[in-house]
Parts: sequence; structure tokens; C-alpha cells
Amino acid sequence: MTWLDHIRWTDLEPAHMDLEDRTYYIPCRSDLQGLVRSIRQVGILSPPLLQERSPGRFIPVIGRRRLMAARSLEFTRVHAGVLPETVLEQEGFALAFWDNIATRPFDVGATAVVVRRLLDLFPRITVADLFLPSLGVQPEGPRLERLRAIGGLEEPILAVLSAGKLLEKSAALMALLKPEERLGLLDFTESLGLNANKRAEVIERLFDLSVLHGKGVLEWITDERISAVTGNHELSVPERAAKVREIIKAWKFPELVRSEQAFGSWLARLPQPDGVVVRPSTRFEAERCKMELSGLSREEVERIIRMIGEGRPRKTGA
Amino acid sequence: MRFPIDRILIDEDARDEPLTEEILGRLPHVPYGVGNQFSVLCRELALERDPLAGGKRILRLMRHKGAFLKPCPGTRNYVCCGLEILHIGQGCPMDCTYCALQVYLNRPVIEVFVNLDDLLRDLKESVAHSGRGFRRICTGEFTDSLALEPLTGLSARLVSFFSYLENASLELKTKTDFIESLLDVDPRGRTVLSFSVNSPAIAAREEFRAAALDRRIAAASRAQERGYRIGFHFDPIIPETDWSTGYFRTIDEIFRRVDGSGIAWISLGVLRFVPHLKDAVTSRFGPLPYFHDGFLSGLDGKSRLHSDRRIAIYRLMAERIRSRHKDCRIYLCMESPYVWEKSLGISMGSNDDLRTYLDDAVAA
Repeated sequence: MTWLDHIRWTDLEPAHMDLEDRTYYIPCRSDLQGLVRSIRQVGILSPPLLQERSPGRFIPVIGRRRLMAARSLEFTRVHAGVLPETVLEQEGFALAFWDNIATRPFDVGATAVVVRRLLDLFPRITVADLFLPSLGVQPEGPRLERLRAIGGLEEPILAVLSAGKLLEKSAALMALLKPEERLGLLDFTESLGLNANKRAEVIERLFDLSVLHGKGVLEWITDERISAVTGNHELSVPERAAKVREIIKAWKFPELVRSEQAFGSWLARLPQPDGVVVRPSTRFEAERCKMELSGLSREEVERIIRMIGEGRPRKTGA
Repeated sequence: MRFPIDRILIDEDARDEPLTEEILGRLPHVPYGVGNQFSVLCRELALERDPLAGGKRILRLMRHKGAFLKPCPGTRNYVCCGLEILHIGQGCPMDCTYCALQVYLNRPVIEVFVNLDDLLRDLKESVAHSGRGFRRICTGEFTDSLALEPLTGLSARLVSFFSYLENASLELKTKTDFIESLLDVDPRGRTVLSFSVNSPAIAAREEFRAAALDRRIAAASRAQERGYRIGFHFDPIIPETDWSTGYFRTIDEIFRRVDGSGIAWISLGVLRFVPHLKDAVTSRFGPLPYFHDGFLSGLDGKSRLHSDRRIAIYRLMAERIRSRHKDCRIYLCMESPYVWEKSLGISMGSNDDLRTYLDDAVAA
């Protein structure tokens, strides 16, 4: 790299810095307030690095959050290094990458954004050999492409992903949807208060239904059966979520739901002593059922067995 | 040669094999290299967005160092047919969207095992000395049996080899019509030439570079005239909307052109797959509607449609087949005794039952 010889150290006005610029953006979603408190006390110990992209316009390369903190503290000048415009984006991003990766772990959302940018800037083999080992991402296999796709998602989705409220596989499916669909789906799952796993279930099933029937996700989530539940404010949020999941399950697995209902109806006609549970075969792959006895003591189990034995129909002719 | 091959890699220890020479002679304009290029190439391919797309155009000639004959991987908790796999190579130049090999094989190129002497010796010893009763052996599990036949001529040699065996049969499974080399070999009842078929729409849309369906059926008809027993595999059956119309058309066409009494078996298998195949397929081809149907996790962990739906599909398919040839031997691939009973009315309680059922078709 040639950048080191060309850094110019100077004091810059934060007003001249474009902190929204994403050229060298590496997400970090931790709370800024800690950094603000630190800088208020002792100032900026490690000067940020910017690049002058046009006369008087500076974009952050390293230290974006320090600059954000400085701006929030209404600093009028910040001592910073300035890279010339001639430094390539590849070099600038590599600087940002190595500065960040050395000091903090990347969450999956940040990793995805970084992977996407690296693949835009560098040949694949360079990304594989130089950067991916530090990210803990295998260069082979489908994950790299999945992360690249996720890296292009909208900020609200990436934020939820980084917060651990959205699984990577769900984000990957959302990347296959249109922006308005995925943002609508995000809002929908947020409104149901689903945890990451239940959200993953809902997203995957709605995605499947959408692809199978050629009907957009938004059409499914605005279906009148769903709306009747989500608009029913007599139900608690968890109750609404449970009912919505039931509806979606019945759309996705109609035969399974029919089998479960038929089994339930059959079972309801039978006497059901305490301590006895009857289950169907796994996903109704066979007609066989499983009957489980449970008791708090041997005596109780014996009582249940005797009770069942006494109720046993006698063989014809016996 | 029908399939595009851009490059040939020859392992150092495979360069002097006669089959290597034969293949190179049949691909005189394809560049080749000998030696240790394979790992470098694999690394390059692995970094591509779709390693298989490039890998399917690269032929690796190599010696197989393990056992050539292995049991079919089958699946647990379902009835399997006891087929054995003869490893002639792995990978396939065709590119069916549903193909399980996309996630099963760990190398993206097409590999041909050129140490034929070892293969035949292994086969001979295993069949001659096993004492394991009748053996049904197939080459079409990890590759298509005939896809590279114009290059290798291997299947014709195997047909000849099996024609003198009393206790084994060979099944060649293909989606090609590359049967020319087989037509002058008398199988003496010991080879079943099987064609993977599907509805016309699925065959045209999902089976890239495979022979057109009518060419496969025409090839079956020609082979039957030359004394081959014929098999058909409807696998995977993909039950799209109005699925039966297309599948019935294929069944009708088969029985219009092939004598039903010469059909050894017809297998049926509704699409099932290891769960991560869906992701791999989506990354290669984008979301394909049929992979997003109501698949549940089966007893073996594979994604399967609900048993009621499979039963209904098998029942309709079997009725149609039996309406064309009532004694046709139909079998289900990797299904439960429950599904067998409900769909075909056949009690198939164990792997041994199915093995016997199929052995009877070829052992006589």
C-alpha cells in the first residue's frame, strides 16, 4: 500500500465530513453513548482517517463513530489524517477492514455487509485468501453468496439480524424477496413479537407459499384470515402470534393439519385416563400409534395398567 | 460426443491406462493436462459462484482406489431394494435441477475411473465368491450409466461381462439415448436397460442436457428389440398442479412404444431430498416452485410430502400403469410398508421382501 506516505495530518471541521457516505462503511451497531462519554472526558486519542473525495468534502475511512461522537459533542475541529483522492477504494476499504477486525468481532449483519463490499472490490481469490479467514467465513460453499445477498438488505433488516432477532437463513430468504415485501414481512413479524426461531418458521413458510403459488408475501399476510387475528386486540400479542402461526401452518401443510385434526377427533372419542398419552406416528408416516404411560410412582403406573387391562375388549369367542 | 467437455485432467497414475488413451482419442481437440493440477482446479472451482456449472464441463480421468462394488446408500426407516452400486465414476454432465448429487458429491468435476482391469477383477471376485444369492448391480447411482458411453464404451463391456453370470444382473440407468454401443451385444437376459423418465413438462424444463423424453422412449424400444429387458424410473415424481396429465401421457407413450411384457420393472418415487438440497438448488437456479411444496421431515430426515399425498400419487400412477399392462412389476423407491400397502396393495414389510420381489424379475 502507498497510503501511509501520503497521509496529511490536519484539523478538519466536522461539518465538512460526509458521515453518511458508505464507501468505507463497516457497520458497528453498539451504543454510541459510551464513546461520546469517553471523548467528552479525554478527547479523541486516536485520530480518525478520512479521504478527500472532492475539494472540501471528506468521507470517513477509519473512525466513523469517533467522528459521529465528535459531531454530537459539537466539536468545531477534529485532528485527523487525510488520504488523497488517488488512494483506491480497494486500499481504503482494506484499511478500514484491518482497523476494525483487529479491535472487535463482527456480528453476522456486519460480516454480510463487509463480504458484499469485499466481493465488489476485490477478485474472489483475494477475498478468499486475504480477508475471509479473519471473518471466519469459508470461501467454499453457498454461505459466501448468501452473505453477499444479505449484505445488500435494508438497514432495518440488518439491524434486526445484528441484534440476533433474525436468523441468517431467514435473512437469506428475505434477500430473495422484493424490498417492499421483505420490509412488510419484517414489520409483520415484529408486530407478532416472535423470537428468532418462530420468526424463521413464519418467514420460511410464507416464502414457500409465495414461491409455490406465485402469490406475493404481502398478499398472504394481508389475507382476511390473518387480518382478522392481527386486528383482534382482545387477544394478547402471543395469542395472536400463535393463531397466525396456526393459519400459516394449515396453508403450508394442509394434509398434516387434516391428519392432526382427524387424529384429535378420534382420540377425543376415547376414554383418556390420567397418565396416558397417545401419539400418532411421526408426521403420520404410518398408521401405528404410540401410547405412553407416566406416573409419579410404581403404584400409580400399576393402577393405570390395571385400569387399561380391565377395559380391554375380550377376543371374540374367548 | 453430445456433452460439452472443455478440459481433461489426467491423474499421473492414470495416464497409462488403456481407457485413458481411448478417451483422449475420442476427444482429440479437447485440451488435457497430466499430473497434479486437480487440487488447484478444485480450489478455483470451489470459489466460483456455481462450481458445478464449470465442473460439469471438466473430465477427470483417474484410478479408483477403493472398492468398486458397494451397497446403495439407501435410506433408513424405509424399505430399500438391496441394489448394489458398481462405481464407474461420479458426477454427471447433465444438470437436472432436482439432482441429489448436487450436494452428495464433494468434487464438482466429472470423474471416470479408468482402471478397468481393477474394476472387472473386483466385480468378478465379488460376484463369484460372495455366496450372497442373486445380486442386482447398477452403475447409475453416482453418475448416469450411459452419459459417457460414447467416450468410454464401458457399459457395452459390462453388458457382455454380465451376460455370462448366473447370479447377477446389471442395471444401466440413464436419461440419455446413448445405446448404440449396446445394440450389438447380446445381454442374454442379464441386463436391464432403465430410463429415468418424467412428465414431458418436467423433462423439458428441469432436466438440462438430458435426451428429450421421446428419444429416451425410442431408445428403450430399440433396445428391447435387441433383447434388452427394460426398466423405467419415474423418480422424482414432481406433483405440480395437474401433475397426472403429464405423467399419464408419459406412461401411455411408454406402453405405446415398448412391449409391457419386456419391462422388468417400473419404479415410482415422489420427490424427497436432504433438506440442504433446497438451499443449494435455490442458490444455483433461484427459487423453483416445486421445492417449496409442503415438505415435512420424514423418518430418515429427508424432506417428504405427507404420506396421504404420496399414497394418492402412487395409487393413480399404478392404476394407469396397470391399465396398460396389468402384471407390470411396480416398485416404490424408499417408501414405508404403510405406503406400499395403501398405494399398491402390496405387503412389503422389509428390505428382504423387496429384494426378492425385484430379484424375481431378473433372476430367471
